[in-house]
Amino acid sequence: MTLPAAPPPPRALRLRTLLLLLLSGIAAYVFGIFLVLTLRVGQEARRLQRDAEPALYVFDRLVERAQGLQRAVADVHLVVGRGRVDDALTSTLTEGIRRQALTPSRTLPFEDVPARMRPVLARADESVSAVQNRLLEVLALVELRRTGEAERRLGQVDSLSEVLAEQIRRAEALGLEDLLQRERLLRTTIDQVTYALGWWIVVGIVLLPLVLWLLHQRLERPLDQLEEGLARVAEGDLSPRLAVPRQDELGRLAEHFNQMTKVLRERAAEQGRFAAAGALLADVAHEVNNPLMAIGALTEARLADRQLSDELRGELELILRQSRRAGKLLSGLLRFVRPADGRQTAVAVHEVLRASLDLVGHQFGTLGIISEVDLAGQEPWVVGDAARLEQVFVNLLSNALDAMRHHPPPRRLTITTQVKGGQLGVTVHDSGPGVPPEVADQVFRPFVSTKGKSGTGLGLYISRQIVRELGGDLFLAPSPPGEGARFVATLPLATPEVVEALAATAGSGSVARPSVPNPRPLEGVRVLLVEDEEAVRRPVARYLTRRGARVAEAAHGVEGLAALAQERPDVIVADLRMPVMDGLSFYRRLIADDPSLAERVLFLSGDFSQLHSLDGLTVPTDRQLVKPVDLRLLEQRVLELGRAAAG
Amino acid sequence: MRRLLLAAALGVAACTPPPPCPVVAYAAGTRHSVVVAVAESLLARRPAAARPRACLRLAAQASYDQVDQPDAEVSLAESLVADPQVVAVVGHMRSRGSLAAAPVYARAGVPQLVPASTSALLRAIGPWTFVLSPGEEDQAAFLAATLETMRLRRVLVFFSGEAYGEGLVAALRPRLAARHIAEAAAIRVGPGADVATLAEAAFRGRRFDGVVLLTDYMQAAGLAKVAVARRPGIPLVAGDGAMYPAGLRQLGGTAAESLQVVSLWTPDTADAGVRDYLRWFRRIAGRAPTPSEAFGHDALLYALAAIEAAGPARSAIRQWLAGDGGARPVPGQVTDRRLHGGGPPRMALVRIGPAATP
Repeated sequence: MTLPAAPPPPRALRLRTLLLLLLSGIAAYVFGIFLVLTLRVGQEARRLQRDAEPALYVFDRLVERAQGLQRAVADVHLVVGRGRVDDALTSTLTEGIRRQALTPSRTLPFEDVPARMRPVLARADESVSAVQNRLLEVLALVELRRTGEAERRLGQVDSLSEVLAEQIRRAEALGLEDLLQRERLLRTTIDQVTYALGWWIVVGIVLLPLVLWLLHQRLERPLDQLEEGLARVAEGDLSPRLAVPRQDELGRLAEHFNQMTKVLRERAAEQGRFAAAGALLADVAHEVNNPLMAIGALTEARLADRQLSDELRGELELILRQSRRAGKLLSGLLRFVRPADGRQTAVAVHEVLRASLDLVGHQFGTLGIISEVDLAGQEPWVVGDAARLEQVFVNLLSNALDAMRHHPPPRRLTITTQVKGGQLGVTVHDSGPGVPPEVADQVFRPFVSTKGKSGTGLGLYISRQIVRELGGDLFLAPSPPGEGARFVATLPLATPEVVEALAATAGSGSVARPSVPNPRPLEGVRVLLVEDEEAVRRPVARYLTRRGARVAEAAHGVEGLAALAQERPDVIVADLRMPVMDGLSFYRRLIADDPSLAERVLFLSGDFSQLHSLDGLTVPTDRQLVKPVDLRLLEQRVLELGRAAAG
Repeated sequence: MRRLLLAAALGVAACTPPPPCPVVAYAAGTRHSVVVAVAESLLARRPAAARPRACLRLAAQASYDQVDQPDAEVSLAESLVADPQVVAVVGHMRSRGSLAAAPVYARAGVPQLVPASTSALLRAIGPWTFVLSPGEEDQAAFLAATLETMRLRRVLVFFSGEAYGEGLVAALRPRLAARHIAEAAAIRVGPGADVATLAEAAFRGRRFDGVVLLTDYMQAAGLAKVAVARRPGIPLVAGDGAMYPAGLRQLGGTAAESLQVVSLWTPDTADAGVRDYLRWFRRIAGRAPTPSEAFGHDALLYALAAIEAAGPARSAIRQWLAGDGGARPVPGQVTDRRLHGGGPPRMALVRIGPAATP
């Protein structure tokens, strides 16, 4: 039964549009307050100031002139009242009035005075001028000794002064009335604005919860859900699935999140299967390695016989080569599926490259691939984890093989290494269809695959991560259409000093493998061989004995401990997987009882993953020999440890 | 059908009111209505294609001629500014009125062409105030040079107590000093003052060999009467404010004939256009035009030319007047003056002779 498809979420206003609208609304709300205050109150206040200032200025100037004139009138009264003409005094007064009169009426800004007050002020201005003129006339009459006429004219001046005073009082009253009227207008405006603002704020208070609710629904809640989902993913839980309430930006983000967790779940399931297959492979490898080891050891033992016919020697050597080849392939597979320990060592890149080619090389024949390997002259060394680097090369080679699989022959695979300026460049170039230009810039993104359902879309992404962690880079070099794909990995070369230092830390055996010219180099070395498989133990014991060692044998850990009680060996060669007491338990007992002897244990196994559970203790790699082992290598290790025991 | 459509179109065209006529307001006293009448009649004589598309309107208040009050000037300016049909203003005629009204026009962006005011302050009002007549600085220099030519060493100065007289006397003083002409006294004559008494008092006991009158024609006539009576034969020189011969003769009688008045304009009778203007003016007004009337005529022509060239928008008109338009003479003008960039003023001292027999 198939479930009906969920209806698509409703289309909604885009989040940025919604936020823009909200912000615009808030801005308009605030600006509205500002606008009301500025336009209504501010404008009224400015108008009041604009009208009042010039009127006050004109009024002040008039009053100032009128007061000056009042003093002059009083002085002229004195002069006229004396009855005797004093020309000097008359002249002084005349000059004073003229100076005062020189305050020109044109400087008064009548154009800025409110129209209602303008005539009153203008008439007052004229009256001031008239009083001045009359006063000057009176003084002229005094000067002409026409005092009678001067007195009459002075009476007119007094009347004019009264008119002037009245006009000034009227102007003052009018100005005050105008000012009060404007103030009342301003107050009314302020009241109206206060009322309007009150309503404005009420509207704001009503709208605020709506805005907050909208923000909560559209922003806060989806973000909370997203944060919760991401936190669960960060904790390793890939099950969360977010609701997609609407088709906006956060809705699409939730959809992407759901898609991402779905892919991660699928990848996790795939990786689980891969890990199970790896464990299974380790078991199988152990079961297969022992027969291979037995075949190899027995064949080598037989080959030591100088009486063999050439034909039989040839066949035995063929058996030995084939068993070693099978063993090498098996150990390579084991190394590949085993989790990397992340240790930084000096890595011989060409060696890793050859091992990678060994892993995938069996397909060359079936696919009809012509491979060309052009390696730089000297072995380039880099600092890193050999297993992870091998993962990169295997991925590049597998991709190349997949690309050429459905491409018509001839199929050509070229692997090149070049050293330039302290950098090593490893190029893998195939003759497949090449990477389409439209996906060329996406192939290093996670979950992008050109292989459809058969690809995880993680290979190149992880490979680039590994190479970048090593300080290099991985990229797709441009190549003309129809000339396949060309992937280049660049790696920084390690200096000889660094290589030496890392080699010394890891053990000299990983760097150099000297030959053994002495026919009985193990003379006097006591060896305890703990191995449950008799088919392995016997030929190994026989080989070591023939090379001069005194070998004691044990079928498991308990027997091994019993043998130790009888005689303390110089070197112990132990299997890991054994019945009764396995190699790891045996080793723990040794560490507890005789730590110096524990340092001279050589492990012989097809799978060393158990050694990871040694709680902080590490066994150097030169004491780990992978089955089926080359007996000459075993002999060399035994010799080194035997010499160390002898001091 | 076609005829029907044509008839309908013609009908619509006939019913559509004509577009409003942009107005050039002539802000002056009713006495100056003759300027508008002469300008309109001269323009009407032009071929139809050369006639202006603007209207002329005399804008004057009832009491304008009598009082010349700043508040009335400001009110008049405000009413013109508020009228959207008014695109330019020619006026106001006196310095006092022009100075009061100019800020109103400047604030509203209405171009104001001032034909006859001489106050230097007008030029500082703003970019849209265009002055056509020579300024008080020019006139003061001319007056001082004239007095020197007349070999006068000590002069008695009367000046009107408003913008015109105050500005001109302030400009004249340093120029008199520069030519070593002493100022016996500077007597302020306020509006409506008893000029006879002031003059008599001023003449008493003072030593001077000439009288300078920087007043309007009414005050100048009164002062001339006293001067002729008290000091017969003394030279009487008046500024352009008194340049209204008919008024001088009417108020001053024979005393006016002793006056020599500065004329800011001397008609170029060799010019046919000027002769035509003089003829038409005499035909309409029965007398010769005064310089201020001639400047008013030219200011009207400038405003009309600006509307023709730039269109009826106030902004376009003022830009045209402030630019190249104001720097070149306009067709039909009679004073040979320009709004800016004109040459030196052609001033003359005119003796007021007896009235010509009609």
